[in-house]
Amino acid sequence: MYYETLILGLVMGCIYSATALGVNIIYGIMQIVNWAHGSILMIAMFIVYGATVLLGINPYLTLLIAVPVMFAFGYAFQDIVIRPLYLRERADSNPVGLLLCTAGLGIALENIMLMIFKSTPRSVSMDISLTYISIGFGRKLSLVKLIGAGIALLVFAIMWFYMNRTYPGKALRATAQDREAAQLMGINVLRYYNIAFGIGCALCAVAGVIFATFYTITPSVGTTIGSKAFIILVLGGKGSVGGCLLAGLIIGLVEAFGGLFFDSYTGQMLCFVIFALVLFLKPNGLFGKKV
Amino acid sequence: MNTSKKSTIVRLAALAAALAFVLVLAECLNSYYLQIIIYIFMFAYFASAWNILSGFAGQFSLGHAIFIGIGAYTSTILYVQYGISPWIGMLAGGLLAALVGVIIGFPCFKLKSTYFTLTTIALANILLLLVQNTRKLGSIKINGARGIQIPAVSGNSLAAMQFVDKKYYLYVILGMLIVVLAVCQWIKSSKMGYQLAAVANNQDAAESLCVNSRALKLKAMAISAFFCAAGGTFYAQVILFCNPARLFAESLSDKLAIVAMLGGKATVFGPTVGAVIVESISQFASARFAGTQGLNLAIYGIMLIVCIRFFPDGILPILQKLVRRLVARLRSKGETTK
Repeated sequence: MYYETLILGLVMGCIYSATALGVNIIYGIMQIVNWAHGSILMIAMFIVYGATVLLGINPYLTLLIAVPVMFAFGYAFQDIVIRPLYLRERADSNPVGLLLCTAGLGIALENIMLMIFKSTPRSVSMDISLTYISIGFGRKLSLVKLIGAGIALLVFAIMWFYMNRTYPGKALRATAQDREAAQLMGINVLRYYNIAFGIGCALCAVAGVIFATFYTITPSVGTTIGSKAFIILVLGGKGSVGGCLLAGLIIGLVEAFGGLFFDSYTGQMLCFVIFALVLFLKPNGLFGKKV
Repeated sequence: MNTSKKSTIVRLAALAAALAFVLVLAECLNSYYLQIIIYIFMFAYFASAWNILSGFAGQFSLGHAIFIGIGAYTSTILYVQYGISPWIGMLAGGLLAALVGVIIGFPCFKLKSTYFTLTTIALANILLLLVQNTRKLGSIKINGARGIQIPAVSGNSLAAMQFVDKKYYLYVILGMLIVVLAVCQWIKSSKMGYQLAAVANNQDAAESLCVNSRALKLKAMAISAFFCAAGGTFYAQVILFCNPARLFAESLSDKLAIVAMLGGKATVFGPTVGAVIVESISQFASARFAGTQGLNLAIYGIMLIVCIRFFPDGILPILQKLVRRLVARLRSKGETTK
C-alpha cells in the first residue's frame, strides 16, 4: 500500500517537475512569472490530440510537432509583446504589468480553445493506455505514466547539460546573473531572452505531450496542472534545475500521501499549505540561491 | 474663482449628471439590462476596493476573492441560520474580513512584489479547498461544495436585502459605490495617500523618511478587505446563493485586478471606468453570442494584452488627456471669437 503510493508519488513528481521546469527557466532568467503556462500546456495537449486523431501517429512522435511549434510561439510572443514591456518596466520596482500580460494571454488562449472545442472532455488512446506493468512486491503501475516519468527525467538531463555544458546555456545563465556584464561580453541579451521564453514554452509542450497520454484533455485542464507548476517553482527556487526536480518530487509525494491518509481535496490543500509556508519562511525556495 | 475650485465644481457637476443619468436609466430599462448595469457597478465597486490595497499601496493581490467570499458567507450564515438581517451581516462580514486581512498581511507584507502576489493566490486556493471540503463548522452549516441557498422573500424587503424589483439593487450598489469612491478620494488626498504612494513607489526610500510602511499597508489591507466583504454580501443577495466555486474563485480575484488595471490603477475613478468598459463589452458579447462559450473571457484576455502593451497606465488617463485637449481647444476658440 505505502510502497505503491510512494512509487506513484515519485512518478507523478517527475512529471509535475517537468511541467514546472518551463516556468522555472523563464522566471530564473527573466524574473517573469509566466502565467500563461497552464494554457500553453493545454494547447500542446490539443496539438497532440489533433495529430493523433487526424494523422494517426503515435502520441510520443507528436513531440516532434508540438515542441517546435510551441518554441516558435514562445519566441514570437516574447519578441512582439513582452520585450517592449520588459524594457519599459525594468526600472519599475513592482513589475506587475508583465504578470498580467501573461495572465491575459492565458485567459485568451484558454477561452479561444473553449470557443472552438467546447468543454467536451477528450482523451488520446493508445495500445498501451491500459497496460499495467509490475513494479515489484506484486504492485502494478500504468505504463504510460512510467514512460512519462522517463521522458521527464530525460528532459531534465538534457536541460542540465544544455544549461551547464553548452555555450548558449552558459550565455543564458550569464544573462540571468548580470545583464550588463553579459552584454559587455558580447551576448545579445534580448535575443537570449527570446530563446529563454521559447525554451520555456517548448518545455511546456513536452509536459503537455506527457500529460496528454493519460490525462483528460479539456480547455480548462491548464489551470489544474498549472497551479502545481507554480508551487514547484516557489518550492524549488528560481533558476535551479535540480531544485525544480526535487520540489516536484516533494509535491508528488505530498499529494499522493495526502490522498492516501485523508482525501484528494486535503492532498491538494496540503500542497498549497506547503507553498505558503515556504513563501513565508524561505522566499528563495528550498534549494534556491540567495539573490 | 480660482481654477482648481472651478475644476472641482465642474467635476462634481459631471458626477451629479452621471448619477442622474443612471437613475433615469434605472426607471426605463427592463430587468435584463438592469441586471447588467448592477453587475457593472458591482465590479466597479469591487475593483475600487481592490485598488485601495493594490493600486494605492502597490501590494498586488490576486486573492481578493477571499474577502468577497468571507463577506458573502458571514452574512448568509447569519441570515439563514440566525435570522439576522444581511445589513448587520454585511458589517459583521466586513469586520471579520478586515481582521483576516490584517492576519494575512502581518506575515505577508514582508514579502516583495511577486512573492506577495503568489502568496495571495495560494491563500485563496487554500480557503477555496477548505470551504469546499467543510460540511459543518461546529453547529454552523457550510455545506461544502454544494453551497448555501438563501431562501427567497416575496416582494421588496429592505430588511432582508431582497428585492423583486431590480432597481432597488441598483440603488444599493450605487450607494455603496459612492461610499467607496469617497473613501478612495479621501485616502488619495490625505496624508495617508501620499505616504501609500511613497511606499508603492519606493519602500526603502519611504521608510528612511520615517514612514511606517507595514502599519500603512495593514491599514490599507483592512479598509480594502472591509469593502470587498461588504460587496460580497451584496453579491450573495443578488444571486441568492453562496457557493465556494463562485465566491472564492481565482477567476473572480483575477477579474478585479483586470478591471482595475484596465481602467487605471491607483486612480480614484479608474476602476469604475474600467468596469464600465470591460463589463459592458463582455456582457454584450455573452448576450449577443450566447451559443459561443468562452467568448467574453477571450475578449477579456485580448483586451488585457493590448491594453498593457499600448496603454500601461490604463484607459482613464487617456480619457482625461482627451477631455483636457477638448477643453483647451474650446477655450482657445472662445478666445479668438472674443
